[in-house]
Amino acid sequence: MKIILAFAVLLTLESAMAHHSFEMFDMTKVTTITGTIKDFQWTNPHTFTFIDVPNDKGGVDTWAIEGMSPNFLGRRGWTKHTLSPGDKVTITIAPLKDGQKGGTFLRATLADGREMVMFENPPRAPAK
Amino acid sequence: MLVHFLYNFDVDCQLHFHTGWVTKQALGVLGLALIAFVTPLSAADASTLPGGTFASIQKLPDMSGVWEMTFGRGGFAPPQQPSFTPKYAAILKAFQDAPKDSPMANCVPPGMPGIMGQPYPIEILFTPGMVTVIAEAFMQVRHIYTDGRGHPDDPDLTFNGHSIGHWEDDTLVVDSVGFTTDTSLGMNMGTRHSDKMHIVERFHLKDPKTLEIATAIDDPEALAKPWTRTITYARHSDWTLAEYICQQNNRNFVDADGKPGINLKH
Repeated sequence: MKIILAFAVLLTLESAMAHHSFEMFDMTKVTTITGTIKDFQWTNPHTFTFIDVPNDKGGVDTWAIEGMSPNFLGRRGWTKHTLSPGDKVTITIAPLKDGQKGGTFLRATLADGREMVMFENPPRAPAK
Repeated sequence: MLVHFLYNFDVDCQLHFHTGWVTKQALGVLGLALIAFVTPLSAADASTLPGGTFASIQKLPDMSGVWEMTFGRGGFAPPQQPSFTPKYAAILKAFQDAPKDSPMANCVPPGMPGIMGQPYPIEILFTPGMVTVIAEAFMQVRHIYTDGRGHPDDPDLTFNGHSIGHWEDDTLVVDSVGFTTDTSLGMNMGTRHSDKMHIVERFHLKDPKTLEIATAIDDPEALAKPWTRTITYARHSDWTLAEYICQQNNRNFVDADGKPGINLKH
């Protein structure tokens, strides 16, 4: 709840305009998906996490999750190795309004149980 | 004004000399004589101003370094909304009825004042006669001339404007004009300004680790009264600015009608 509140505060600010609005995402909804990391793109202006999630037809759907940038996350405990292909993780997102399999990244529980949030505040020193 | 004239004259002479525009030898000799005369004079004037020399910079409040807005922790206070003239209030109303996403989705920088309120750090540098603000977001640079020059009489209109600064006690006062109307005031694309927008920022250290920038924006066409706000930044001595290439993996876009989209393909 604390994380969601921090996110809500962030969104009320001009800084939410950084790069684009969050108009595409349904910020009133929270969706949790569990699957296997296919790719973690540590790039600007956003990180993108591709995760294979089992569906009810016996196959997998690849979800694309937009996250904050390496610049922002690198000052909040994340590195390019935080998510790696093959990792089993649970990710909480605000889903896309149009129903496509995607959303904006809120937080994740890693295979080793660590909780990683997108909007940690205040920030800390970046990893060396 | 004298400094401004001398500066321009000096630059003009040098440009003409370097490009060979001055073809008559006599005029060339005259130009060289003027450069020899003018350059030390204008340099002397600028060096007497606070921050005009490296030695003088040492005596100024140390605002150099990396700072990040304390968003979510009182970074903006008070959250006052702009008061628009009827024409610009109508523009905002039309936007609210049919919202559009920002060209920032296509990696177009926000310009001033939005660039000072991004969720990325800024770095402030002091060199004689100039304060430089580097914004990590969109890798933007603002040059603030503190050498006594004025604004150009008819500035080109740019995203970050033309900035000159001077010191009032321990406050750096930055005056900026010459803004393109392609940008907004920053909250959304409905908050517009005219090319008459004029921004005054007062940089002040609340303490060695806290920088406050009080910003007053006036615009006789767009704003019914000046819009003021103060942004607080925290010093991060152990940070360096990182690269931000927005075009690297930009999967967001906004079309000509302002409709946003996202590319989810792997």
